[in-house]
Amino acid sequence: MKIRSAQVALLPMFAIVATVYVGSILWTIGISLTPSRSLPIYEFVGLEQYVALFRSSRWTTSLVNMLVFGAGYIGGCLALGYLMAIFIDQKVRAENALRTIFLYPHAMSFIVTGLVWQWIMSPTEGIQDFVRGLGLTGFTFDWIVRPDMAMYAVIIAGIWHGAGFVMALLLAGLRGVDTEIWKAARIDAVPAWRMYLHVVTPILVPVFVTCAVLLSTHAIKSYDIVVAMTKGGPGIATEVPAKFVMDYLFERSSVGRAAAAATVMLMMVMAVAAPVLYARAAAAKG
Amino acid sequence: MSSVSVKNLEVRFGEHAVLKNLDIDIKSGEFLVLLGSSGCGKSTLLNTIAGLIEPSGGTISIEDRDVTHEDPSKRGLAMVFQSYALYPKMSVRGNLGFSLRVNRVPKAERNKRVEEVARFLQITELLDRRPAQLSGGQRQRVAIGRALVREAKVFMFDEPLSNLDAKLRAELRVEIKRLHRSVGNTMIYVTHDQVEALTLADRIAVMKDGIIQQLGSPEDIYDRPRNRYVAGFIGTPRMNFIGGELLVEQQGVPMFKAEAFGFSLEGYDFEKYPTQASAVELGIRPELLTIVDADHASAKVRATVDLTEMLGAESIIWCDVAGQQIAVLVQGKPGVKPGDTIGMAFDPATASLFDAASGLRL
Amino acid sequence: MSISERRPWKTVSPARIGTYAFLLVCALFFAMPLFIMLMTSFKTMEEIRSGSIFSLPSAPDLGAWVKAWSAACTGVACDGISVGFWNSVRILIPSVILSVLLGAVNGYALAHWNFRWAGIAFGLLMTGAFIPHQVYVYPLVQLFAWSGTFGTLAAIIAVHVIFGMPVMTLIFRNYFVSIPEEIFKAARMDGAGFWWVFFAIMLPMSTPIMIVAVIWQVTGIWNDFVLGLIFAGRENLPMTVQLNNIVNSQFGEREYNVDMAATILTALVPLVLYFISGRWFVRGIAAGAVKG
Repeated sequence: MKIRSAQVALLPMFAIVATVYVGSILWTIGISLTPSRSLPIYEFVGLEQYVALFRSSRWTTSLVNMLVFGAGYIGGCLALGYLMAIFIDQKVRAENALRTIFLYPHAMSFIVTGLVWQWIMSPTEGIQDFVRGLGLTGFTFDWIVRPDMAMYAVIIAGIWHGAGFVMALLLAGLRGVDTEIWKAARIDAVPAWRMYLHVVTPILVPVFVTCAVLLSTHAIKSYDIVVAMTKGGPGIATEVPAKFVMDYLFERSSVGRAAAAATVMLMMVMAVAAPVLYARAAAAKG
Repeated sequence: MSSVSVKNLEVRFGEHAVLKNLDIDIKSGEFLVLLGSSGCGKSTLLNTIAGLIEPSGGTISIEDRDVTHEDPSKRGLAMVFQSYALYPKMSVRGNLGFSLRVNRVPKAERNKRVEEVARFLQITELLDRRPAQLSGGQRQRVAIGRALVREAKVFMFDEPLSNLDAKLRAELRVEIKRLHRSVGNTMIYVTHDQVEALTLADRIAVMKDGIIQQLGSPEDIYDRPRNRYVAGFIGTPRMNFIGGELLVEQQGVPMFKAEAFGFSLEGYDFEKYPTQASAVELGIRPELLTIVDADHASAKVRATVDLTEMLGAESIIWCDVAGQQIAVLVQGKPGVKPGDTIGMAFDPATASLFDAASGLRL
Repeated sequence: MSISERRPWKTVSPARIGTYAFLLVCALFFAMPLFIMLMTSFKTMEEIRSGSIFSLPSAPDLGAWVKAWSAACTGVACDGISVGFWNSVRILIPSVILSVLLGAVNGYALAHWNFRWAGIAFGLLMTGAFIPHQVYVYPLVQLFAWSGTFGTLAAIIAVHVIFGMPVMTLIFRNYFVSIPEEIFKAARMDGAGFWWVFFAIMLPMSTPIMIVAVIWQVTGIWNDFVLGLIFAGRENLPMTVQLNNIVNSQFGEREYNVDMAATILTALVPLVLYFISGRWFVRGIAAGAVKG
């Protein structure tokens, strides 16, 4: 068997997997157990960095923000995306144009998304200013500058970016549903909303899971959108773990702390991905 | 001279042995069919001979050369696949010439050989088409052409007709037979279709569970099945089986005795003449039974007609014989109707007797 | 099959009106930011201060576009976003070519030449795709620093190849797995080895998936921010980073028209790709979504 050439061809992959996808992760975990500041110091201090990490209010705020963002962003994208997919699937006119409009934000970067929404939500220049200009001088829409609401402003921008993606996947899923069941539903006089709720949605559960997993990795990785939209502010109101790691690595020169934070992120991803990967593998083995 | 010789072959997928201790000798110029239901190991055997599966034991020789560890392309074999496996993005010319291109045969010679083969198969006008533009029959010819271009000693076919509709299948079967007659190469042909096997083969190897159950000419396999499995596998409608006892008396011929009837086995050609009584199964093909009046002298068995099926040129009469279902194949119309009591006559010499325990032919 | 066979509503019913109303509202929500960006970029600062974000420019003015392209300040230098554009192009082209080719080879090798370790390595690669870049960043920075390539074009290209590998490998593997094994066997019977099969048979068959992969990588690499920020080095900062510098580190009064023009310019490459590739883009999303 000419397996040799295949092995040679896969050498780059093996090398990258070994150094980056295994080596770097272990390295990062290792550093999180040291007191490293701007340079690595290989001295074992146990979980000190983690203790300090969770004592830092900036980190705990980051974590809470990530959970809030994740819930709002994933929930919002799934809900809006599913509704759009269902309504588009009603044999509407201009389906292609609508799909194009719903999905184009997904082609843009989070940086662009963040900057645009920063401008739209700016109280002095954006929607608030516009509505007040119409005569409703009491109107306020200043979430982006309010510490308690700024995270929700980021969520709106996130949903704008991701809902079309969910719509595209779910629409493909809807189109894959056996058309016979709609005939059966008509004969049985089942209303359409009941069909969607009790028949179609359960069929689409795997697609929902796929979307949710992908969106959750986006949520955990979220960095660009926050940097562009709020820079973590006002104050630390929109700090997120990914930004925490970057700041501690490159600005605060606290490599050990950053590695501990990155390791916590890693464990969170694993917590989301592992059950799904496991279920898929189990299903594949049948 | 043997063309392909397989000795002691063993193939394992993990813990599971798909082929064990398999021996087969295929003669030069012979058309051998590997026949069996899916999962019997016939495709595994073919793929192992081809070199696409690595055996875990045993040897394979082709033209008296040990090729067990040889690369598939160096074995002097060519294969026609079930899907024909034509390279979709290459023209017919590209498909036919690919093996020559890989082996760096100069372009002029390559073209010459491709065109020769195309002329032989009458596909010259298709040379510049893509596989997607060909009909099923044309695809088969290109696939065969690919084998011819390689000037292989042995042609292998992996269920080439099983994806086609009945009409095309019959046409292409004839075409394969004709090809064998004109090129005279050794051919190994895998199928689960007994009609293909019976019509094409010089010899058939019936396989089950990775073991060759019987290897012989179509007549041999059909008339003298070596065991109960082969007997039941070949023939439509299926061979009738009646359980009973073989009685051996001191003088005179052995007797077959079932609960409700019995008869002498005069004329039956035993593999080994029986010396003691044993539990047996009697097998008799539906077309070898004749229907007679219930009280006719030649009637060996009495039966009640259960239902009849008219197939056009012939009919199947399903009868009940002491609780066992028996099919009789007759020419023309059934001639009897459900509920009739009839007699059945047959020549014991044409029947098959199997040991009830081992299933082997007696 | 007629329309009425599928859905019970066909005539102009309240439900039908509701459907269109909902879709219209959604369309406005999604289109609004692009509209605002465009309008703002054609206005003068004068007009922006006096009017609202939704008003149309009275006389389209290209001044902001010119300034954004060639004179906007990204920190100290004031050479416009064009610098970032060309940096992104220089990063994009080699990164896309390398990562797509490598993904194709990996996917092919994994699909048809599977052997021990390959499956394990592939599993690790797929798991790695879920893990945030932050986990890898510090060790990678160290590795590049040791090799003396940190902050160079080569470094950022390598990083894109590394992080593009999981999805590229996956989509090619899934595509090649779907090619009947018999074609592969036939080629081996014809004497073709690993590379012959790849170049003569598999590659010609993979045009559709190539398009999907290229779209995926162009969009992903062009839109990348964090990797470019860390690894590209000051000389090679990609357009997204430059854009963020223009918008978020301005001194004095913010020039919204220039900001918006720069934003559109940055979004232009993936947007144009999206609008011309249409269905392919959606296919790409679906191909990447089967991750895991």
